[in-house]
Amino acid sequence: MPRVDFAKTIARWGVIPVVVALSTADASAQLPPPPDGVLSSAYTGTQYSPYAGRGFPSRVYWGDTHLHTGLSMDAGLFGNTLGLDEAYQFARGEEVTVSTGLQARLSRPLDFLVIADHSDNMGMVLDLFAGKPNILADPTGKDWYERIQAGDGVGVALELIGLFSQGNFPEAMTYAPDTKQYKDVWERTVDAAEAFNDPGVFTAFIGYEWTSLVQGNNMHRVVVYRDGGDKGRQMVPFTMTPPQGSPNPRDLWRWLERYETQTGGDVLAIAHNGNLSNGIMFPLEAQYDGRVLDQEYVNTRIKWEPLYEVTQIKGDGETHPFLSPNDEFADYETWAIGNLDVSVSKADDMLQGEYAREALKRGLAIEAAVGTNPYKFGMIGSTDSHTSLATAQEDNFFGKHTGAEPSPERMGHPFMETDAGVIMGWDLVASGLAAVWATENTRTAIFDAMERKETYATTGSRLAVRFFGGWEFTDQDMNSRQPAFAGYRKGVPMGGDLTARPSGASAPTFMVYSLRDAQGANLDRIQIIKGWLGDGGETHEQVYDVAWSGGRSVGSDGKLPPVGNTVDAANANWTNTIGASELGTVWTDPDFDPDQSAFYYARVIEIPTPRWSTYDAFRFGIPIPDGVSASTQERAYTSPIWYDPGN
Amino acid sequence: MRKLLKEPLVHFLALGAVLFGIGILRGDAAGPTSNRIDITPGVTERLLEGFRRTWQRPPTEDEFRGLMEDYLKEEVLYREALAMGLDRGDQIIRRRMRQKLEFLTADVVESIEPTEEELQAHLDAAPDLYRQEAIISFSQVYFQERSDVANARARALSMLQDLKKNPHTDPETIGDPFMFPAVHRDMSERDLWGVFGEEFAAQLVELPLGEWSGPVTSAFGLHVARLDALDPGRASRLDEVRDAVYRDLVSQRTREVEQRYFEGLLSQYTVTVEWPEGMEPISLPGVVP
Repeated sequence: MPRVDFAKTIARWGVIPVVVALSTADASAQLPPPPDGVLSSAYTGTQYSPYAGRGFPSRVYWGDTHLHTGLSMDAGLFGNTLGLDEAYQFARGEEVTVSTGLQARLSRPLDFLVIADHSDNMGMVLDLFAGKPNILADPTGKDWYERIQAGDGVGVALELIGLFSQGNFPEAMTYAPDTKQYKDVWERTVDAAEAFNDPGVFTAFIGYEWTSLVQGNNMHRVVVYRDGGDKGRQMVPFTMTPPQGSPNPRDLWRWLERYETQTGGDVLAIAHNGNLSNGIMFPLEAQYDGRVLDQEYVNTRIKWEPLYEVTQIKGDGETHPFLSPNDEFADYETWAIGNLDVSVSKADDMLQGEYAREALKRGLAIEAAVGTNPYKFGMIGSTDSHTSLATAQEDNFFGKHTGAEPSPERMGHPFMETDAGVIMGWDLVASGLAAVWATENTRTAIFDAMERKETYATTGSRLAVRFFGGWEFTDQDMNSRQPAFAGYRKGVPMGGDLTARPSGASAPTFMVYSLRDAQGANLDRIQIIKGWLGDGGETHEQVYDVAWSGGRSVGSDGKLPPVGNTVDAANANWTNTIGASELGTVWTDPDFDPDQSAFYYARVIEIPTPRWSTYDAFRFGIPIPDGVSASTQERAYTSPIWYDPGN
Repeated sequence: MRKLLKEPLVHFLALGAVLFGIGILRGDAAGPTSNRIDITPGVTERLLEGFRRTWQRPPTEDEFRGLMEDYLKEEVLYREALAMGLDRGDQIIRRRMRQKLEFLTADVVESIEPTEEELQAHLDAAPDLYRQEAIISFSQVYFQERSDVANARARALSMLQDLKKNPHTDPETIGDPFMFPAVHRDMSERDLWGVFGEEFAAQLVELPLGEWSGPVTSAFGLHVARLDALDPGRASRLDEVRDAVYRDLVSQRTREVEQRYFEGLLSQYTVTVEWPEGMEPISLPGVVP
């Protein structure tokens, strides 16, 4: 249970509960349906009570799909002494003492977490066996037992460990018949996930990170299990080191296939932000090893990788200004120095293989050539924090690793520096979060939502976003009391494929709406980003502003003016006097060509708020580093909706 | 002999030897300076087991050859690296060895079952952490403020009057479009806070039961709301939260034991510090000033 400050509120209540006759576990009202003919034709529900009979999600759940604890060697190397327990406790909303001695707590608990430590370090300790001490077989042991019963468990443990100086230990230590293999790190990881998984309250997924590096180029994937420990324990994670492992994604997919066949379980893989792959994350024609993208590659990749990590601490990966020169929001927390260890610097021709928007476009082109779209992924955000602390909010950012936990020096020190380039401490991004529209907070419901891509990424805020695509959405749907009903009934949610185009429809319609983070900032605008495959085989993109706050209008240059900026950098503050608490619209594609395959996703942008570096400057009384913006505009990226002309 | 046994290094070796029954007893470790590499059935079996646990099948002939060749290469290079002292000053190796000791501590602590009294005491020490959450059922109707706050307020008050006259109107059918449902049954306090925000939650729980009231404010706008049920929660009984208490108590104990084990070891050392020129000394536990 998280320690939330309701204690004082509760003290005031002291109310005797009123039993409500119709209580159910979820948020649906269940009144008896009225007789036929009573409902007005203007009302779009099928029963009097709109929620009766529905099976769609009415709630968004927040999580981090990519967290490292001290078990990851690089985290430990940086000084992370926090383990699995602390990581879960922090995510559930408890206060913990961090590696540098500070106290930390999330503003709100997360709903789910994937601890994804590097599989190469889980190491099988193959030559050690631990037996449970057969304590009672020895008079000393019996004495220990009695002291344990009397409450001195800690004292006995100490003696057990330190007993060799007395030379008595060997006699007491007979192996119990159920001697088992020393618990390796993987088993500890699974045990912790099982211990902290609390269906309906907090979901702890079993997971790990396959840490593929090819000459410093990052192709990591986080593997997430739908399953519990009974299946998870059966196979140890795939590593990147031959001969047991491999850095080639094709081999990871083989391991995933093997896992499902052998255990009957269900897993998926989420690729790490591609911005450190130096172009090899999203190949167009051939992989990094020269092997051509064949049927097997495209079919297998999309089978196992329904989601992509579009934003995290090491940079935002939606798009790059070089790839999207007409998108004034494209240069957001861009990391384009080089690969993971900055051994090789970035060249422009690498960018196309690294960013989500371009990858989605490439997917359309590959589909036209080979028959399957390997990059038909949904979007999530995560932190990839190595501090055991899943922090992504600007005002509560604990950095990528222990050396970047709050201190006056953390901004000014290089995070990574080689001859090829330098990444400064202030370059780190307080991002991201995974938002999932699921029917309940359980492993199965959230995993299934991930598989169908009903997810979106944010850069740390908890703004709620709905995005639907169909052929018949109208303003009346948007203005109905619960637009989601129309959304699911007349279209598909984010992550889906548009249904076949009805003969009367000239263009697809999209219903998108968003509600600000209750603890955060107002919204600036909603955009829909379209990518499509032209007749000549080349891909295109276009950003449309579809809903915005205030009385602004699109200028003659086709651009909507900025919303303004209320950030008071000196005090690390802002006001919600600009923007809107919610925005929504129904939008029809004005440039639709029914013969061209396309995707559409929504991007929701908040008004400017202080960047984490501004909070540091304020709290430590130091200047904001040169060239670093005082404010940031947090955003959400939804999973796309695809249009297939052949459908 | 007794003095030798007090040496921390001997502790570790003895601990390793006895508690974990390693190769010394099973004859597959010739020391680093030896020129014999004996690949015993134990080694082969461990390699096969490692492969099986990764792939859930035995290796093919080629794969097996790869495993054995890799083992041999690793053993040779490992011994050479040890002979050259490459294990010294390597932060990853130091970290890993420390980690293995920490795992050992955790295993030992886990093997000692907490008593009922200890579990109860742990629960009693932090009742808020384990309490049954408050559960709230409510209905709300949303009014967006946009640029016209006064209009929203007027509409909300007008709707409130309508609802007082017709309290059974379905709230899903009235008010402005909203992201979340109008009716929430059995929502936990955590979820209420998370979805609607602190401002709304604080006002909601003060409303009279069963009556449409308001308007109530939230970060999103105005709401007319009705508190339908409120279970304020209560302290948990041990049997309701045993798993969580057990888990947390063992976790806490592990940290305590680790700390005290370390302190016990440290007390056997004499530690001195030579502070660099110009540096202000700080006090470290166990260090002779």
